[in-house]
Formats: sequence, structure tokens, C-alpha cells
Amino acid sequence: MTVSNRGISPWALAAGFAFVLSGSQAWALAKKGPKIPVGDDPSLKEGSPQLVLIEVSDFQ
Amino acid sequence: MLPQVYEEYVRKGKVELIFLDLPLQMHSRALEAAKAVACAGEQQMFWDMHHQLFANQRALAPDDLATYAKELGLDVAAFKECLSGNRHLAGIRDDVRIVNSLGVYGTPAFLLGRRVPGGDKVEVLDIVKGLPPYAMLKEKLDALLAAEAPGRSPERQ
Repeated sequence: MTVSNRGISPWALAAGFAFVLSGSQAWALAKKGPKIPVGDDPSLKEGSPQLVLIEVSDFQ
Repeated sequence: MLPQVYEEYVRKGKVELIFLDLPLQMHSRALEAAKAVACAGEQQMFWDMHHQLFANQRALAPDDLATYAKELGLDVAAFKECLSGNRHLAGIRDDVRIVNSLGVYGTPAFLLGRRVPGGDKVEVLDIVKGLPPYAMLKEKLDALLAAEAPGRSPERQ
């Protein structure tokens, strides 16, 4: 048994492929690391560094 | 270890240092200490109190906290009023919830990440549990700096 895709437009195939690809990229980006809010937490910095080191501690 | 990180990375504008509270229940003075630094923060002395408490981890009784506030030149009455209330409790509990959601339940721990552009969030890329040697943290920070700026050596920034 053979499957023919003659009924599907090449544009539709390309769009579908692009959708799958962009979806997988979005998934890969989202997978990089969890995002946590730090808006009100005290910070020390000079300038605007992108890299962040978060100290988690309890003083005792 | 943290003073080295401060000198080599924070002061040079390479890394932002953020603090999150994780007062452990087994540490009887930890919650009051967390409140004390938050109250000092109301008078723009968070990091000074932070350093003071780490330097005196065995002396965190209420009288000790008030003494440190006085030594740092804080308005002691305002500090005590803050400490006796609970207005920073929700923030501390938020920190605990966030840290626990990452699988961190002990102290100290260090989260390495990067600011999400245009927001107040950090994307956490690495988690170090326990107190790492400076060399280990340096290696991780340098690797992340190199990844953030391809083709540039971290030493040249």
C-alpha cells in the first residue's frame, strides 16, 4: 500500500514543518531553566549584568 | 567565598548578587534573623545587616539583633517595631516557596541564572547545594559568562 500526498499543497507541508520546528524550538527554550520572580528581593550589582548569582541562606 | 565573588564578579559588573531567604525550622533563630535583615533593608542597610549576622551566627538572640542595629547606626526604635511585627513574613514565605519549588530544602545553596529581559524574573540555569569552594563557583560563573558573550573572554569584560 502506498500513501500519496498529491492532495496536499507543498505550502501546507512547509507550513506544517515550520510549525513543528518552531514548536520544538520553543519547547527547547522553555526547557532551559525554570523562571523565578525576584522583583522585591534585595540585590547588589554594578551596571546591568545579565548573569545572576542567588544566595539562598538562613543566617544560622 | 562570597567576599571573593563580590570582589571579582559583583564589583566588576559581571554578576548581580541576589539573596533569598530559606529559614530552616531546625534553626530556632533563623526566622527572626531573616526578619532582622528585612527590617534593616527598610533603612537601606540590608547587606550590612546580612554581613553582620553571618559574622555572628551564634549570637542571634533578640538583644543581639538590636545591638547590631545600633552598631550599624539604624533607627533602633523603628527596627524593633519592625521586628516585633510580621510585615516581612509573607515575603520570607514567598522566598521559601520559590526555593522549595526548585528542589532546594537546605542551606546554603546557590542559584546561577540570568535576568529575563524586560522583567523581574531570573531563569535558573544551575543549582549548587551546600557551600562550594570558590574555585568551583568561579568555574561555573566563568562558563556562563562565556556563554552569554560568545567569542569574549570573561577576563576581558
